[in-house]
Amino acid sequence: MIRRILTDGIGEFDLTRLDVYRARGGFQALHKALTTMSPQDVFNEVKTSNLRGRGGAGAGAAFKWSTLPEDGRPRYLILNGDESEPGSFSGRMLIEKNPHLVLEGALLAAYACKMARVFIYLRGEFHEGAQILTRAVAEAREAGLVGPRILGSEFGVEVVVHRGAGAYICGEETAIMESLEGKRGHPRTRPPFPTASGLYGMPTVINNVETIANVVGIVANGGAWFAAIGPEKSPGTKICSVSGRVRRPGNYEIQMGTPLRELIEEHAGGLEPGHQLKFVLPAGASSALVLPKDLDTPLDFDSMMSIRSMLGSAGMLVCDERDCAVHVAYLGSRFYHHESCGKCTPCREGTGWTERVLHRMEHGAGRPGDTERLQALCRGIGGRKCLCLLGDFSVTYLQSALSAFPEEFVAHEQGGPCPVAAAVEVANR
Amino acid sequence: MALDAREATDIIGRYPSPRSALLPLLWLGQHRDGYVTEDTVADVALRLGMAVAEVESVLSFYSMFRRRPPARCRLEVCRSLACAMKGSGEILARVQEETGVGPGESSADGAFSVEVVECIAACDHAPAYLFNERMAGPLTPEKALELLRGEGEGRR
Ligand SMILES: Cc1cc2nc3c(=O)[nH]c(=O)nc-3n(C[C@H](O)[C@H](O)[C@H](O)COP(=O)(O)O)c2cc1C
Ligand code: SF4
Repeated sequence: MIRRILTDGIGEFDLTRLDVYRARGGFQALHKALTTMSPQDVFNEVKTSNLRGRGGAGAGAAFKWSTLPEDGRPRYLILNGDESEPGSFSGRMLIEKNPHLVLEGALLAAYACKMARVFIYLRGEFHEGAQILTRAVAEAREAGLVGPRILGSEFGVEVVVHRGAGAYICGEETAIMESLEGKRGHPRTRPPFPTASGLYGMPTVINNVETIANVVGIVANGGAWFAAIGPEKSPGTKICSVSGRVRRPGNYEIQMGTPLRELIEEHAGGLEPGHQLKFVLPAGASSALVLPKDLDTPLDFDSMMSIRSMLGSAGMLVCDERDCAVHVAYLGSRFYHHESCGKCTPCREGTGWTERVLHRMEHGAGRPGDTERLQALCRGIGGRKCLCLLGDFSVTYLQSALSAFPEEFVAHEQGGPCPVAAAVEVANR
Repeated sequence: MALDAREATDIIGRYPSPRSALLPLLWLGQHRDGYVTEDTVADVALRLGMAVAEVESVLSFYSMFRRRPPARCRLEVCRSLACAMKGSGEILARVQEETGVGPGESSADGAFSVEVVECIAACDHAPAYLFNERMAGPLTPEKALELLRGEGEGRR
């Protein structure tokens, strides 16, 4: 079974060094593309591969690229390395441990889309990642792999590593462009979509770093090779970040379609000794919880949708019997209230109200009717009323928790101590 | 003090539009001075042809830019889901109990500060933290106190 494509060699080799990366076959895909393939050929391989975006929604990469207008204007590529979803930390590993793979993928995507400039946007907290990636770009530039006339060809591209400065919303595709333009990270109205009018009003593609890293293998081995890995509609591998109550939290690259159970029980070593799984948030704080009964669901975009959750960026937060559904909801609400950019009323006001209600429930001061109030807030904020999906994200887990564990919310309405915490105490006695 | 002219020009030159250099220039200033000074704001505004108020408006959106000189030891503790589940709140409470310094505060002598931050993409090391911008984890109450105390003593 093919498992490690993107993380192959990590932990064994210092892939941050260009010579090491090259000795292991690195930049051969770029060489192949520039010497034997047209941009259209590269595009066709990506199309054949059926590669879907790893940043959340699973949009077809080639489809997105195909919506670029043929009008001769400059085009830009933005690699989304904002990675601020609570529970996601796979991009950080790629950036810190395999920066040349990310870079080579970016060069190939730029070649396929006829772009002369790439911006790699990293969240501000990635100090180390920014240093490593900047060094990798400089090293590649010295070797003639970045800049004008790459490997002696007609193709040239500039790569800029750009750091954010602390704002979850800047991972949203239009906020990232505003931020890159030196503005506050407020999402834009759509349409126009970025491929029509993006950065500086020019056609722009925004892809997640992991999406782009996959392009290297696709060009090296062919789109058909990639398309044959895992499920037909969600091919390839996915780096899953597992955290929370497991014995071995960490990043695990799995073949798409691997059951969630295998990821948790085998890769992540199972639950901490003596504890039982209660639920999983499979795509970070923004996703609907998955109950133990659905643990055999294959990890791919469509299967996860079919159980009314999502694969998203696969930041898997594992919770056990010690974790109160209300507590987790409170932590999430605090995050979304903090991160709302404030542009849309349902999100700006609603995230604050949600936090306030959950705060009092969490702190023994819940009031009768609070559960119903939360339900009303979910209806009021959700349903795509806002400019971006942050508002919807803020109620996705909450809504699922309200329907899976209503009794925990109702108990917290009474203003007493947390029943889950009390049960844990009894068990520990 | 104005920013280094060569470095600033080099950064601006990387972008099709000068204003894109706003965040990188603010970073440049913060790296040099520990925070974004009035001088940096004025200098950046001048170089990018922006009003000072415009620079301030953007700057205030991004939580990582500091407007005051930082403490020598800065502990930033993650309070998001995985870290809170693994006890980051209890660590902060313990630190406050022992040092009197709560989240968002600095010690009276300015030797150290304690902040809470949202997810820093280090959930596998929960409770994760940044100490003087370096990412690490897991944090324990003892480790937190040691980090804060150790540097504080070193200063004397
Ligand atoms: C609030 C919000 C935050 C987001 N954060 C990220 C992020 O950190 N990284 C990311 O790749 N995509 C993020 N996205 C999704 C992006 O908008 C975009 O869909 C994605 O980068 C496209 O890349 P892909 O097609 O390769 O998946 C976010 C979306 C929203 C609404
Ligand atoms: S949904 Fe929230 S974060 Fe998104 S644009 Fe509206 S206010 Fe801003």
